Amino acid sequence: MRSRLAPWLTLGVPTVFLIALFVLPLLSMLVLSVWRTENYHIVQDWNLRNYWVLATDGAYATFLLRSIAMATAVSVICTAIAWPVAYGITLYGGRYKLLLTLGFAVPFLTGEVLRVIALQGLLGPVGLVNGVLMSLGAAPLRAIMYTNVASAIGLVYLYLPIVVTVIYLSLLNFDQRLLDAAKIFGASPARAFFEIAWPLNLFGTLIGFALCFIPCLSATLAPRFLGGPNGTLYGMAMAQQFGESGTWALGAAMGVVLFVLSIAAVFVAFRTVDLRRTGFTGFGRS
Amino acid sequence: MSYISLDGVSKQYGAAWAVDRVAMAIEKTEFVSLLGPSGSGKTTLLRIIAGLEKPTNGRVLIGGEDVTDLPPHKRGVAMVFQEFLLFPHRTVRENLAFPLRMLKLPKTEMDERIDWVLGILSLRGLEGRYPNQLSGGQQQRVALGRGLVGRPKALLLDEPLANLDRELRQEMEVEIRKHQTALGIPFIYVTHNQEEALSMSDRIAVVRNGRIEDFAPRAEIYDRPKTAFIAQFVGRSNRFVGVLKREGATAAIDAGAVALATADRPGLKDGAPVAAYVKNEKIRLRTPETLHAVGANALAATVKHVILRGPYAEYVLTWAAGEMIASRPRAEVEFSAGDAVVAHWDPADVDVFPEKEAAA
Amino acid sequence: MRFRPGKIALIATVVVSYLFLYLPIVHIGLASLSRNSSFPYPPHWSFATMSRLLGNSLYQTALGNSLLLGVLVATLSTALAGAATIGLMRHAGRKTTLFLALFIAPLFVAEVLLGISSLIFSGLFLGLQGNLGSAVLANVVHCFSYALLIMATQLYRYDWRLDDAAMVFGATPARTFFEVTLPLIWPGLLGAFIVTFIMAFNNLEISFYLLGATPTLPSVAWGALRYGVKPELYALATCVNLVVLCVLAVMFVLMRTGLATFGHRPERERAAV
Repeated sequence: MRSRLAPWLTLGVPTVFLIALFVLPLLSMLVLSVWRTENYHIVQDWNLRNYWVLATDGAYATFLLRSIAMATAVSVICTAIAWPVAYGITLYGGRYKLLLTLGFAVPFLTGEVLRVIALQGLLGPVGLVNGVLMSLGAAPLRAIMYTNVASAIGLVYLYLPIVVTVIYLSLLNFDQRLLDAAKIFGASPARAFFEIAWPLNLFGTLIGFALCFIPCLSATLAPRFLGGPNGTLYGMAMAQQFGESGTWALGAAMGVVLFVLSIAAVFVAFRTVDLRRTGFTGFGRS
Repeated sequence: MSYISLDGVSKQYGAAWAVDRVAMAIEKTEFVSLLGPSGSGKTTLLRIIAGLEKPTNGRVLIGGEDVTDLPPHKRGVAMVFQEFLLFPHRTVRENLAFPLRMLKLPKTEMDERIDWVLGILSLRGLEGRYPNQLSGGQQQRVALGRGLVGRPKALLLDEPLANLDRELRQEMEVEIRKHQTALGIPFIYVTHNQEEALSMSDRIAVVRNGRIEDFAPRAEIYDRPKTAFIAQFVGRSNRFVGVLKREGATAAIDAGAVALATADRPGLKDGAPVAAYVKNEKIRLRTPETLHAVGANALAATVKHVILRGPYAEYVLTWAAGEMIASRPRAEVEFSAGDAVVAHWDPADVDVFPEKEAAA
Repeated sequence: MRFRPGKIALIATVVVSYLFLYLPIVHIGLASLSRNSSFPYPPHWSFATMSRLLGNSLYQTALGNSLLLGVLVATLSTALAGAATIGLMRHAGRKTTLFLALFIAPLFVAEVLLGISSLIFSGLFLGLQGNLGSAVLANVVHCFSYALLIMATQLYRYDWRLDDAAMVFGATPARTFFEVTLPLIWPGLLGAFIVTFIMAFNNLEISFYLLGATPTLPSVAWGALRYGVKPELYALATCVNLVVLCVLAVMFVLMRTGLATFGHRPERERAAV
C-alpha cells in the first residue's frame, strides 16, 4: 500500500539538501585548508603550511588553549547552574512550568549581537554594575571591564538558556516516580538523585554540555566586544582571517581545527558513557 | 498492640479530603486488601503508609513506632508499584541489589539474598537483563523480588497485577499469597479488582470517598455486606427498591411487582424506603411446572439470553418490572433463551439497606 | 511543615538565574527610554532615542531584509524538518539512527563554522556573490535541525495508528495527512516556524559571511557596535526583545489551549511528583 515516493520525499530531500549545503561546504573548507589564497583567489598547491603556521606560531597556540579552557569552564558553569534550575522547575514549577521554560527562551532567541549589546549594558565601563558601584561611591570593578572574566560571564549569559532547556526537556521525559521507588527502598533524597535522576538524565546533560561547549569553543562576538587585549580567542582570530587580513586558507585551517576539536570532544564524551546505563532505549519507536 | 496502625489519618488536597479520618489496625502476619473504585483514596492511603505523602492529620505507626514524620527511606517498608518502576538503567541483579545496598549489607549476604529471591521467583538466568528486555510477567516478578529482598517490615502493593493478563494474574495471586505466608510480614494490597482482593486477603477494607466502609474478614465482606455500597461493589447483585413492612419477627419488602421476605432488620422502621440486594448466584431457577410464582421471593420470568462462563451460566431474565441476572452452575438443569422460568431465593440471602433516594 | 533546605536552594537558584538573564534586558530597556541613558535610575522618560532609531532609513532597510530572511528560512526549514520528522518516524526503519545523526549534525557545528564553510564553498569554489538567497540557504541548514528537534518532541506523542485507522476507513494517504495528521501536529509545525523565524531574523554568525552587501538588523547592529555602544543600539535590542516576548506570550497561550485541544497524548500522563 505505501508508495515508494513517501520515503524519498521525506528522507531523501532533506538528505540531499544537507549534503549539498552542509557536508560539501565543510569538505571545501577542509580542501581549502591545504591550499593557498592570494588576493582572494585560490592557488591550488597542496601543502600543510597553514597547519605548520598554526602549530608553530605561539600566538595561535595560546588562543587555542585559551579557547579550550574558556569553553570548558563556561560549559561546566552552565551545566552546574542549569541542573538545579531545570530540576527546580520540574519539581516546584507546578502549573507555571511551561511559562518558566519559555522565559528562558526569550533571551536565547534574541540573537547574539543584541545580547552582547545587553551585556555591554551590564558589564561595560558605563554599565549597570559599575554604575551602581560608582553611585555608591565605590571604585568600578576592573575585573569585569574588557577581561576574560567578562568574556566568560558573557558566554555563560549567552548559553545558559539552551543548557537549561535541554536538561529540562530531558527531565520532562524522566519518570519522577522512579525517585519515589528509590526512596521507598531506602535511598535518601540526595542518594536517590545520584543513583537515579543523574544517570538517567546523563544523556540529556551531555547534549546540553555539547551544545554549550561547541559554540563557546568557536566564540567570536563575546570575546571581541567583552574580552580585552588578552581576550583573543581562537574563533575570533579565525573570523579575522576572513575579514581584515584576507588569509582565507589559514582561516579554513583554523576552522578545521575547531571542527575536529568539537567532534572529538563530543565523541569522547559519548564514548565514556555507556548508553544502556542511561536507560537509553534507542531513538524513536518503530 | 497491632503491628501497623493508622490513627485518624486524613489527607486534604485543596478543599477535598482524599483520605478522611481513617483508622485501621493490621496484624503482623496479615494480608490486607484496600478495595475500592478508582479515585476512592486507596492509593493515597497506601502512599501515606509508605511515607510518600504526608497526612494532613493523624498518625501512622509501624511496629509500635510513630513514623508519621519519618521520610519514606527511613521507614523500612517496601513497595511494588503498578507500573513496576524498575530502574531502567540497572540490570535485574542491580535492581534487586538496590534495597540491599541502601541497607549497607555485606557483599556475601547481598549475594545470598539476591540468590534467594532469584530462586523463589524463578528469575535465574535473567540477572544480566535490563528491564526493557523482560516480558510483563518477568518485570512484575523483579518488582516483587525488589520488594521482598530487603526483608521489609511490611510490603505495600499498589495494583501490581493491573497490567498483566488474566491468566498471569491468577498465577501471580497464588504466588504473592504464598510469599506473604512464608515471610510472615504484613502485605497491604491496593486494588479495584474484587476477585484479587477476595482470592488473597485475610481481611478486606472497602474504601469509598476516602473512608473505610468496612474492614472485615473477606467472607464477611462478601456474605454479609455492611453497607449498600459494599453489597453493590463486591460480588454481582440484583437490586430491588421498595418499602419495608414489619411483621413480627420477619420483615417483608413491598417492591411493587414482587414482594421480598427477609430476616428482621431491627434498625429499620416500618414503612422505611429500602434497597434490597440478592447476589446473582443466590437466585435459583425452576420451571413453572415445578413451582408457581406466588408469594414472597419468587417471580415469573423469561430467559432473554444466556451467557456461558465456563463452569457456570449467566441467565439474563426479563420479568414484570425489568431485568435481572441469575448465575447457576452448569451441572444443574440448563435453560435456553425464550424459556419461561420461576426465579426464587432464600430470605437469608436478601441484604437490606435504607434507601434515601427511594423515598419518592 | 518540615523545613526543606534543598527546596529553598533550588528555588533560589531559579530566581537568581532569571535575575541574571533579565537584569541586562530590563536595564537597556530603561536606558533606551530615558534621557539619562547610561545610568537610568531613576529614569527621565523620553522617546528621543526610539524615534531616532525608527527614523533611520538604514535600520528600515535592514528590518525589511531581516523579515524577508526570517520568513524564507522559517518556511523552508519547517517544511524540510516536517518532512524529515515524518520520514524518521514512519519510513526510516533500521536506519533511523543514521538519518537522525545526519539531520541533527548541524547542531554540533558552531554557527561561525557553518558561515565560513558556506562562504568558502559558494564564494571561492562556485564563485557566487553573496546575497540574501545564499544567506537564506545557509541559515536553513542550522534552523532545520532546531525545527526537527521541536517537531520530533511534539510528534513523538503522535499515535501513528490513527493514520492506519483513517486508511482503513478508506482515506487516501494525502487525505489522511490533511484530515488526521495535520490537525494533530500543527502546534509542532507552528512552534518550529516561530522559533526558526526568530533565530534567522537575529542571526549574525552565519548570515554575516553570506549576505554580501545586503544589510540586516544584526549586521547593521554589529557594524555600529564596533564604534562603541550607542543608545540607539539599546533601543534596537529593546524593540526586538519586546517583539520576541510578545511572540512567545502568544505561543504560550496557543500551547496552553492548543495542547488541550489539539495535542494528542496517547500515553497516560506521567505524574510529576
